[in-house]
Amino acid sequence: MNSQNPEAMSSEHYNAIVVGAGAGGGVVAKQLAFNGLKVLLLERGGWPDYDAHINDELISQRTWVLGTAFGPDGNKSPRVFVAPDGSRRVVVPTEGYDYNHIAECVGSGTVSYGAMAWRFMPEDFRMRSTYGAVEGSTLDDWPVSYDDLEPCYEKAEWEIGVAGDDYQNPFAPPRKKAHPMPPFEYNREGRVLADAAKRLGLHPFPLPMLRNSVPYGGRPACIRNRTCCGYACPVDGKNGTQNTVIPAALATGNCTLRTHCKVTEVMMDKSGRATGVRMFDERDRGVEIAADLVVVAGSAIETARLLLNSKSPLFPNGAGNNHDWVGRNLQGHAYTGAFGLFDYDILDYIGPGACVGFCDFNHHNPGIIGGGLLANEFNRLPYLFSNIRPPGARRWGKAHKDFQRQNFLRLSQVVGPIQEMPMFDARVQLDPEVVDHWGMPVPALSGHRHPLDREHCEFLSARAEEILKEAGAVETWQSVGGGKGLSGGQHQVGTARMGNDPKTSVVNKYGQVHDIDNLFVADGSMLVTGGGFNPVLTIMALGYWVGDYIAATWKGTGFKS
Amino acid sequence: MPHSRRIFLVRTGLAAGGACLLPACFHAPAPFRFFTQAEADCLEALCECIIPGDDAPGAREAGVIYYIDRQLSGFFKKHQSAYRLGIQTLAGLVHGAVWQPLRGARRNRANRCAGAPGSRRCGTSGMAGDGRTPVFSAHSRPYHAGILRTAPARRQPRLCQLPHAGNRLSAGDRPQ
Repeated sequence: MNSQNPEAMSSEHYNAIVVGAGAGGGVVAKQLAFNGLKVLLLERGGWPDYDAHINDELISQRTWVLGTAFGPDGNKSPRVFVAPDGSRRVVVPTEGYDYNHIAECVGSGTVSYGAMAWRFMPEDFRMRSTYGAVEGSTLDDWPVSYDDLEPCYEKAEWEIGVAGDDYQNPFAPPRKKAHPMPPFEYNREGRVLADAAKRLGLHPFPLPMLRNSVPYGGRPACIRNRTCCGYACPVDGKNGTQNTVIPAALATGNCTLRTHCKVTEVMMDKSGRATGVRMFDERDRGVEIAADLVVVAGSAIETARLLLNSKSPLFPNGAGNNHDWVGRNLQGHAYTGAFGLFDYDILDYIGPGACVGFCDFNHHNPGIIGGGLLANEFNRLPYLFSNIRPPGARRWGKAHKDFQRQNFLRLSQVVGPIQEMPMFDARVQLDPEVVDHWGMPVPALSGHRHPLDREHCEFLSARAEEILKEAGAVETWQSVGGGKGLSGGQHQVGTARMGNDPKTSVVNKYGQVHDIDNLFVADGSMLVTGGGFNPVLTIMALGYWVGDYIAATWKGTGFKS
Repeated sequence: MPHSRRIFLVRTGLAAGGACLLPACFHAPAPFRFFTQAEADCLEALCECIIPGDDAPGAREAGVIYYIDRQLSGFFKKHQSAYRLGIQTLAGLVHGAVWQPLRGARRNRANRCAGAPGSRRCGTSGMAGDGRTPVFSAHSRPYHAGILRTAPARRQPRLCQLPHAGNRLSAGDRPQ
């Protein structure tokens, strides 16, 4: 349990406190520091340490049976999962999808991600206008457009570093500037699938990746090892905020980074303005730190939790929560696709595996709302592979063992994230009973997916299977995602929705919490919809968008008009 | 493929519910930290069912039981009672059956894990029954006598027909 020392008011004063050093927070901190604000960047984890876990499959961000390599520590940060029947149970990170974990370290998920670098398509910002209202869903338009964010996407691609060639993707949104690095070459699987897709009239292209195809940003090129997605990079050739914008922010001299600091509350005064944060520092001492403005960037679950726990006279149910929208619309991505078994080694183990993508099924498919990208899958290590068997196959005994050794290099998967339908009741709440190591109520997660998600997954899985069949797979089977359970894992978004109407959203188009002009959100929580793409580049772009807005309106100790 | 078995060993390390790691068999076995001998015998037999030995080591030869024992003494301490209950239930289901290979080559531990690191065979004489799928014979002395004192006679399911417990990782929803 935490120390019970009386909280000390730190004598420090910052212009801005950024809570969370991940994809959004890292970018915001850098934008503010570059614009002369004195910034304190707070991270609950530590600096990521590649050597601590190397390539231990069972302790990675992909297979967490023995723990997560980059946090969180389940003993300190449990959560509560509320089942559809209302029963509650405490869950820890090793329970995976019920915990909905992401990394807890400087850089957060950008340390261990597979690093696909997608720009959302213009339609992704206009889902309601494009498809109309969806019964049972809070599907809506964003208050910003693709054109608004385009310059921010470009900054993210160039400052953090993306390899790709969108000109090979006819569905890619318009861009002013090419990617800064050439795309990665296909591995054998990529070549086979790309050829097959072309025969089907589809449009394969090399995946855009936040990885160095050539030396970039003072760091080396990717060595194409197989343990990429779920792991830190041994040569630092994968680009996250921890090795790009955060060091840049620190180098300005305007930004202070403190690790192992757990923020429990945004302090608010009687007039409804943020005055700083209350937190436990690296030695678990309670501290209050004052700031002119606060940016919350803890990702969808933790950001919602922090806002809900920041109660004040004008916001008795949590900051920005007077209309009960904080924590709602928690979304993630159902992954769906198909497997294909080949009669030769289709994997040549040129990592990280995923290299070819197809955007033919993002938008403009009759009867499908949104859709999703398809790509070949990241290389698996043996434990993950042991879970993949054709339907009906034995999962024990000699047949199980034989499959493992005979087909480890013969299995291809084409898979992608489906655009989920946001649900008002898929939500993060403060648990009324369970508290964490620091005494803060833990997030209680509840809700379920929209039934349409399953239908959309079936559509996308069928397309994936067609590609694998055409590629010559001797046996194919679908893995259809989108079951009824709660969503919101590694691509968690939506819990502090952007919107123009304070009654149906949490923040305005600049991430500013409605009615609290010096409290911002800059992470996946802002997203109205999660798209049919990995969301990280969009979260980074929003970091630039919010950071630039703050910098442009900031004047000394307050905002210009 | 040349050296396919070796490549398999290096690349896979097997996956009996994630519990099978090869390095465990390169060391002389230590006493159990959590299991009783009878519990260990029961669970090891089940693991050998999941990943049987053939020309490559199975769960027993790989020393899976020690790996599980150590996890249950450490990271997964909270699952101790679940394992104990599960083993008791399993033992009840197979009441009356006996694990022939187990009883036959009663676990010559010194031989079992004699292989040096990197050697092609991990243990030479411990492959009881030559790693064939173990056979139950009903009406023999229950090998789990130390676990259950009495159990009513009932229809004997074959252990290897027990449904797979399932894997928590679903095929979809894979982190990207």
